[in-house]
Amino acid sequence: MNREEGAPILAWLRLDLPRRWRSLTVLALLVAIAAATVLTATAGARRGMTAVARLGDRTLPATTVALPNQPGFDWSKVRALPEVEAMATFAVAGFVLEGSEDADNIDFPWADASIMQTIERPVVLSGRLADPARADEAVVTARFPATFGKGVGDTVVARLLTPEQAAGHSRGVEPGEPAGPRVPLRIVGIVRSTWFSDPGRPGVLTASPGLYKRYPTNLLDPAGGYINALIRLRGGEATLPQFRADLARVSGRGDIDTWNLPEQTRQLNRTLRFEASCLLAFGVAALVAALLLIGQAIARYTAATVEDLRTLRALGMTSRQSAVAAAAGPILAASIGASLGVAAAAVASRWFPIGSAAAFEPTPGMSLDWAVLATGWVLVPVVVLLGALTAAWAASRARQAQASDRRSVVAKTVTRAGLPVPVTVGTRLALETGRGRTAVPVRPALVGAVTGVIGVLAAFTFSGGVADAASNPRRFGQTYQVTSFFGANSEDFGPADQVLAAVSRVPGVDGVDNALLDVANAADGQTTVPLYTYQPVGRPLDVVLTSGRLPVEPADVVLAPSSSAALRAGLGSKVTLSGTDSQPRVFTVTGIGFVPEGPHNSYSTGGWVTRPGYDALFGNHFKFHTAYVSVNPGADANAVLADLKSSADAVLAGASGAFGLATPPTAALQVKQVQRLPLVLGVFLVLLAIGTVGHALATAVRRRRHDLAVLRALGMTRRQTRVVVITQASVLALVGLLFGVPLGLALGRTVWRVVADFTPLQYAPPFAFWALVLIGPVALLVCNLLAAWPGQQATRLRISHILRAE
Amino acid sequence: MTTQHPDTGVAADLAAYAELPATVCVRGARRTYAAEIAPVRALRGVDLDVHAGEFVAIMGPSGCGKSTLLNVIAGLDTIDEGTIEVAGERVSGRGDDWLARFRRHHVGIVFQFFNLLEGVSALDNITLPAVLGGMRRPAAEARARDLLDLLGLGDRAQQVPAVLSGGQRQRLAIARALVNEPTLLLADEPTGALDTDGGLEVLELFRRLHADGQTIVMVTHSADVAAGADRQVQMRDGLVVGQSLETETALQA
Repeated sequence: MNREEGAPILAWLRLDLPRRWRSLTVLALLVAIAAATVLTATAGARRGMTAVARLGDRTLPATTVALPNQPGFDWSKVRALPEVEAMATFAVAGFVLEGSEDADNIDFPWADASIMQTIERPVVLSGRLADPARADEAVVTARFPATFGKGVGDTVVARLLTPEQAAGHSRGVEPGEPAGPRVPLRIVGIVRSTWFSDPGRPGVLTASPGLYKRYPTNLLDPAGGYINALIRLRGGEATLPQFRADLARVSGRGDIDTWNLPEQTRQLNRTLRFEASCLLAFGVAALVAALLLIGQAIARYTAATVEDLRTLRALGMTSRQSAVAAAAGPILAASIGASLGVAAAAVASRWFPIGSAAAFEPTPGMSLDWAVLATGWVLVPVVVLLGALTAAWAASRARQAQASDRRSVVAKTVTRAGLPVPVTVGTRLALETGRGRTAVPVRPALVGAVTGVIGVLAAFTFSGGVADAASNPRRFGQTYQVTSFFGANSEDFGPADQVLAAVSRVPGVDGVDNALLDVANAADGQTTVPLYTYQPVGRPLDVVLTSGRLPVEPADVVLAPSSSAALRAGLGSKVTLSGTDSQPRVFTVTGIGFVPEGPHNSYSTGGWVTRPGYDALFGNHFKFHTAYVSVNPGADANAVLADLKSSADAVLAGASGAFGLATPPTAALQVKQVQRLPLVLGVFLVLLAIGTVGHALATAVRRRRHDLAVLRALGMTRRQTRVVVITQASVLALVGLLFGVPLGLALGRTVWRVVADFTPLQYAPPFAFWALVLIGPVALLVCNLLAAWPGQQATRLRISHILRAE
Repeated sequence: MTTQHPDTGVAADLAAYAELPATVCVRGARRTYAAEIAPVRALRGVDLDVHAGEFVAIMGPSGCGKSTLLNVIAGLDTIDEGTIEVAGERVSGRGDDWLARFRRHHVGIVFQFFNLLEGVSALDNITLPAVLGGMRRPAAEARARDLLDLLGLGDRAQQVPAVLSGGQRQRLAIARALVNEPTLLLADEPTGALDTDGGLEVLELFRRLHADGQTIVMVTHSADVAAGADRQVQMRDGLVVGQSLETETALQA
């Protein structure tokens, strides 16, 4: 377009912009909010999805952790294996920090100086690494300072056991208050690697290997305690089968549990991908909502401009000039909005990635993903340009089209019902397009209202599902409230059967399962299946099954969902498993269900077998012997726990301390990470809906000012005029509620079902009670508040001027 | 035939109308609009009486204030000084809502460009103000149908104004103005947007209404149109500068 052609457009803009700058400002802000939301979500999702991989690239991650759990195990032979690139041993022991009774925030004491040097060398987020030679230094993970109020430069005090306490502890005796040395540990750095991370945990302190070197007997019983190792293999995961074979060869044991850490990382990545997908889905939902809701605002603006430009068309403005002039305002607003949105997304990146990925981000803080930001900055004005040109074309076509007499059935009914004139007129304004210059597209406003309600209700329904899962351990198969630990490495600390028999008779106890755990190998040579015995004592423990039934026969097995997927086995499938004697045995899958979360498995990995089935695989071997106790609904788990301990004391003094309240499943904490996402989406949709419905009301009053002036001339009072606008707003809200509530509820439940299947967790239809109760009054209230200003404008019309000018 | 006073320009024969009650009484009406360059003094002290059953045409060049005068009588605009009474009620100084309610029953307005509700059927265009005036919907619809029949639009009841001719639209606008049987019918250039036939149609209608006793004040700049009225009021620069009486018409009325 040359200068001559552009001049009329510029002249028009000089006239139009001062007149309609408020509308364009609102449009620019809407575009900015939408662009910031979509770009932030997209860049955040990309960052979250790659966090673990980027962290792994920088931190020499371990390939496996070998858990012989054997006192006096000779690690020098393992270290000498050719496939072992680096190794760091750690004592399966611990200490407590003064002022904190929780030992979960303490990492195992490392017995090798190679840790954080040649294996799991973390990124240092602040400070430095601990000196491996010093016993008084420690590093922490990122959440530790916020949780415990101690950061770099601060000192915490480690309370160690006496050698006697440590020896007792290795035999299952609760050590009580640590009576050994008090060791001040200075926190010298905040670190992060795949291993040294704290997803779902309050933060972890890792003491320098110097601590173990100086206080070995205060940390580990030399006779009964054991040391395990973290190992980095040359060739990575591919070398793992060879390593397992060599480990069995040099140790003489074929049952050493060796975790496949790359596989765990893949599982972790699946979680992160899920979270990132949620964020991306949020971004897509925001994009769709923005296209729908802002698109209609642009369409209205452009259509109004096309109408205004009719006179200039008559004076010689070409259709091309007219289209460009109509689109110029929205493009200007979109360009400003896109720039603001990109700036906001850049600032918001400092709070991303969110969820579990935040614990693995190697470079936290602001991060500019130019691929996303630049694309958004270019695409937003382009999309708006195309939308505005299309709207301009459609508006000019609409003018040429024959006027139709189509009227709203609802508006007709309202009129026939004899409702007051302001109500009938308001209903018409909301539902009928009108004609000629006063025409206002009503369908986009209705779609906007419906979309807003759908989005809000779907978001709250989904959030209700997340809240239910996060607060209800049963969704992850945890039907028990109390757990106990009776033995490890095929050795019980006491007469578990007698204790459990006594426990099962305690008032308030509902079900008890006497669970032995060992790890079976699948025939594929890759998959391990931790198996629990389903062995009720008294009333059976409730097990959450997603399908099928519990094992009854020795050859029955219930598989957890992830194991079922890994073995590609469904109900009725035959799976071949081998145990201690490595002899393959065929089991029939009778059910798919969740298992207790244990040291070797998550709630979705493993299976249940009968005691005879277990014995066939493992004989009298077990890795851990535990019990799971559920209490009656409504009973106080703490009170029942106290009675349990008394009851157990009566059978075996000193062993009762092994009973404790079950900790919430880790997955529940991870699910919580995405709880806020749908709410943020809900808030976003509310803001967009407010913007667009407000814009629709304001536009309607402006474009229909002639009709309103006529009605005023015919005797409509100011109050009645206000009622017209209020009715229009209320009708929009009611239509939004009528269609949005059922669709939003259905959408929220469908999305939650997909998430439940993906996670996996037990699906329970979510019901956002308060959202359902409040959305009606709130939608009406908000719409009426939005109607206040246009209503006021409607009452201030200069009737005589409008009627003459028109 | 008309006779005018040499100083005031007021027709001598107007004395005959003075016996009748005044439907409109304007005294010293002034109205000034703010404008960018200088204030526009649309009315500079207008005095005007319109008696019951009278058909008055207000004439004058563009910008003389005739439409402003009509608007302030209708209560669509306000005056800065002076007083206006319509149907025995003081209109000046009243609030918008009072004026709105007053218009429902006492004032019907016909505009040059019709000002019909687009997208609403002809029937509803008439029914709506009737309901607004307090009539129940069935009665309002019946009254609207009667008016449509009366004005020759009975077969167009369900059509929207956009498909009607100019003359039909103006007849529809007149029907709307009459639905509440107003004390006063105001018309602002009612034939201005119509062709000759349409204009004559509307004028004939006004004559019939006047014959039935309707008080009408009509603004026009057409001498031919004004000729149909009892009295012609001349305005210039915001003032009434002369009045003339169409004697024959007045006598017939």
